[in-house]
This record gives sequence, structure tokens and C-alpha cells, in this order.
Amino acid sequence: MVEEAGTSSTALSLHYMPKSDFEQFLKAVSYQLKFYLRTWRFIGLLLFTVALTGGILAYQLHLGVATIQANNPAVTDFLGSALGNMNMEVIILAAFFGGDAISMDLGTATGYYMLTLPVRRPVLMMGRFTSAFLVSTGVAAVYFAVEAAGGWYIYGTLPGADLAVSVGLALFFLLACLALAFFLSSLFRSPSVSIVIILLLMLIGFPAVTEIVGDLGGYEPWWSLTYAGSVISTVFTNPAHEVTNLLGRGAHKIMVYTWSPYIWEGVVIMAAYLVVFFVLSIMIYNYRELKG
Amino acid sequence: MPSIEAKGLTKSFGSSVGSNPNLALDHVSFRFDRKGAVGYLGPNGSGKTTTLKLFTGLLRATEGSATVNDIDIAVDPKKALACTGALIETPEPYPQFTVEESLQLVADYRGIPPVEAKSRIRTLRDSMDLPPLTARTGKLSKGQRQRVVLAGTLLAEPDVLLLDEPTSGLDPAERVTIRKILMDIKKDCLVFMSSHLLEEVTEICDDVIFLSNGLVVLKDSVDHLSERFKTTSLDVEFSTPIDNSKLLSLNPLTKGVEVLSDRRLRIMFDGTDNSRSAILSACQTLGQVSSFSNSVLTLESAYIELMKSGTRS
Repeated sequence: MVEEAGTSSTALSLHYMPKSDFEQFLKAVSYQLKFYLRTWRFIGLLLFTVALTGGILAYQLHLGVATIQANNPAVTDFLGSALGNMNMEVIILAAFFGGDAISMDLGTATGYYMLTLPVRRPVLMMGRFTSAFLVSTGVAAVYFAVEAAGGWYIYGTLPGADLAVSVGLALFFLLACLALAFFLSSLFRSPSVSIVIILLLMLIGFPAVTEIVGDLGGYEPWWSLTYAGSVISTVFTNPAHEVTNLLGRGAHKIMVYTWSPYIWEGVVIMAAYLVVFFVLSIMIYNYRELKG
Repeated sequence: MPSIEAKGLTKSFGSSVGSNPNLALDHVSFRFDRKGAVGYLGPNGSGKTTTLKLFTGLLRATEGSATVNDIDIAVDPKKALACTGALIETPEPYPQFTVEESLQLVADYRGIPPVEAKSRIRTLRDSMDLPPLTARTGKLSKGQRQRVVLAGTLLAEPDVLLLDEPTSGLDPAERVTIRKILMDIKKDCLVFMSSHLLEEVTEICDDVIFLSNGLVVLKDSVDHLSERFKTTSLDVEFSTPIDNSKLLSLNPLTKGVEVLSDRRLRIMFDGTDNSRSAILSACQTLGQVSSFSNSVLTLESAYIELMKSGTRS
């Protein structure tokens, strides 16, 4: 029979001791990777990437190498154009691999399985963040590989240094997007809702506001993550920071601005997003309760 | 020895504790520090699940503390959870993982060496009648999944097992399986379980806590409660129809007889064992008795009485 007792404290009689935070972090990475690699979203995004990059390249090759070289005289022009969609690719990857990372615990019954285990929530979250980064990097690598192979085939050379910088910037942009996705994921209880919101915000919201404020308003959209992400492709072409064009006729002329961030500027914006939203995500994940 | 203690445990889902209508738990205190089983009873919304969530850090206390093995969950959740196995609400492992992977995940986080984990998983599979280890958890029935999750809670042989209606939603056969498991487990750890099934609590638990509107209204042993809330009505069933005119012979022993059907009676009496034996003997003279039982469970009597009065004990 269980008896109530006001006796002194009892001794801890653990049969097994949980592993260190670092070992648990590695476990979190491996289990989350296993989870991602078995989801339809991974297969879907891989196919989407292959279709997008391979399809466009195949179409261009169908038009002929001479046509491509006429439109893009140098390999840097070609890559600058080909990697123009890398932003969108990274945003989609971040939304699908980061968009439910926290809401899956706070909004589904998985939380009752995972969060009653002896593992610190920040450790769990960092493990998920790392695995989301790794799996997204794997898919993004396919994009880079296809475009680089196309550039090599068409021009017989590749701008190694610029390509390396572009890859680095893409990975940094991915980290910043994942941090934002994790943060937004922590605000919603439904994993699918959080993924959709992230996609809407980053594919429509950010670009729309950036165009209105930047292109029409004339204010540099330094606060926009998607603006910062454009350095992934502009690193090849080094466009002017600010270009103005007077469009229209007669009295209806309007000034349109085109902004391109400096490389350092893009890095700073990404770093700010990464730090702020990563820290916020950890805080929310650590403190949020499972009330449902 | 395993221990579990709530000290003035209070949870409010609103802004202030004072006159807050969202006070889910109101200064709940109890301590148990021995192996065995404690039933945590109360109507829906009384604060049972909230208490268990506070003990696992899924919720944070507004006031007071929840400790397992004298480790405050709010101070060192990793250490407190290392001593605790918990099944709260209806946990779902990653649906893409197999049963074995889901249990291996628990073993890895709990620090069970791989070889030992594999062996324990197979032992639990056999003793708990788990689904095939290669089955994906997303494809399992609720009962199968519940058994897998329960197996996960037992994997590291925790000192304290917190269970939130562990047999809820299961079919009768699955309930029997889990009850047997719990009867066995409580010999080695402290089981603290909420339940709506009073029969289950009577069978498994040694002690009970009754909760109503976030307040502890009773805390006692099941044995003591049996004495305190004696059952005063019996249901008797006969193999063949009985002659109602012979029922008069029961009158000196009873406080009333209700005829439920031509074979079934409900008899009110003083609740003593002597009267009960005498009534059974008298009934046997009326015809062949096929069943003779309390019309309500002891805990049910206590539960109904306490919930009606809503007072602390």
C-alpha cells in the first residue's frame, strides 16, 4: 500500500542516466533527419527541384547553346540568371522543413511523446534546426549542382570563387529563413497552417512590401530578408546598389527604383534575422505550455 | 524510494489567482513516497490532467511546486523527467517511425545502452503484447499505439509513473492487458494515475485522491474508504424466475426490496457483513442465486457522495 509520509527526502534511484546535452543534440539531429527523409515533402521537394532546374536547363539547351550565350555572354551572367530563383527555392525549403518544427510539438500529440522525455527543449530544438538545415542543404545542393553543370557544359568554365561565395550566401540565407520559419512555427498550433503562413509571408508578403516601399517609395528595403537573399545571384553580376528609371509618358511619369544590396549588407540582414528569430524561437519553445 | 509531492500546487489559466474563474488547480498538496499505486479521481475539468502536466513540465505552476523524487520539475526538468515515465493525453510518436524506432528513440534520450535497450524492447514486446516492431506507428490502432507509448514509459524502469487515463478509449481486452501490466508494475515503482473508471482504480490502486474544481476533497486509502463508504444495496440475480410472494421472508433482514425483473432484485440493507451473509442465505432459499453483488462500487459511493457535497475531507 502507498502511504503518505512526511519523512525526509528520498534518494534518487535512477536506473539509467540521460545522456549529455551534446549527445542528445546529436540524437535529435539523427532522429529528425530520419523523420524528414521519410516524409513526402522531402521526396516532393527533391522532385520539384530537379524538375525546376533540369526542366529550365533542358529547355534552354533545346533552344541552343548559341542562343544561351547570346543572352548571357559570360558564365557569370548565366549563373546570375539561373540562380535568380534560388531565393524562392530556399524559402520553400525553409517553410517545409522548418514550418512545423515547433508546432508539431505544441499543436499535435507528438509533443506529449517528446516533451515528457528527459531532454532540454532548447537541445531538442537545436537538433531539429540542424537537421532541417542539413536536409534543406541537400535539396538546395541539387539546384546548385544542376545549374553549375549547365554552366560548365555551355561555357566550359565556372567562376569558382563567385560560385563558392554564392553557395555560402545561399546557406546563410537558408539559416536565416529557417530561423524565421521556426519562429513562425512557434506561434501556431497547426503545422500545416504554419507552413502556409510562412510561404505566404515570404513568397508574397515580403516581396510585395519590398516592391511597394523600395521600388515605388524609393526607400531601400534593408529590413527585408528576401531583399537580402538576392545577393545569392547578384554576386555574379555586381549590379549597382541603386538604379532609378523614369517610366511613363508626359505628365504621368513615375520614378521607379531598383535596389540591390551590397554583399556585406545582405549578410548583415541575414545575420540579424538568424540571431533574433533563432533566440526568440528557443525562448518560445522553452517556455510555451501544452494547454490543449 | 520513489516519491511524488505537490506543495500548494496552483494553476491559473488567467492573469490573477485571486477571484479568477480560470483557476484549474487550487493549492493542491499531497505526498506519496512508497511503491504502489495512487488513483487520482475527479469529474471532467476537475484538474486531473493539469496536475499531471505540471508534474511533467508541460505546464508551469502559477504557485507551489511539483517534485518527483524531491526534484522540482520547474528547477531541473531533465533530472526530474529522468525519474519519471509519463503517459498524458494520447501521445503520438512520429508516424513514420516503426514501433522499434519509437522505443529506441526513448531509450536513446533516456540513456539506455543500445544492447540493453534492444533486449528490453523485446521483453516489453512479449509481456505487453506489442504490435510487430517493424510496424509503422502511424498505422497502428489507438490501443496498439497506447501500448507502445506505455512500453516507452516503462523502458527505463522509472521510479514514478504518471498516467492520464491509461485505458481510456481502449477495448475491454486491451484494458484487461493494461490493468495486468499496471498491477505488476506497481510492485516496483510508484504509479500515479488519473482515471474515470472506478472499477479500475479499485482494482489497481492502494490510495486515492478525489479532486473537485481544482481542490482535493478526499485523500485516503482504498481499504479505509471501503469501511467509510459501506455499500448498502445489493443486486441479486436468480437462475430461474422467483415467486414474489416469498419475498416477505427477506423483510426482517432488509430495509427494502426492489423487484427489477422476475429474476433480479435490489435489496437495501444496513451495510454490515453479518446482514450481507444472512441475506445471501435467505436468497438461496428462494432459488438458485446466479449472482450476488454490491449494486454500486465502494469508490463509486464515495465518489458520488463527495461530488454531491463538494467538501474537503
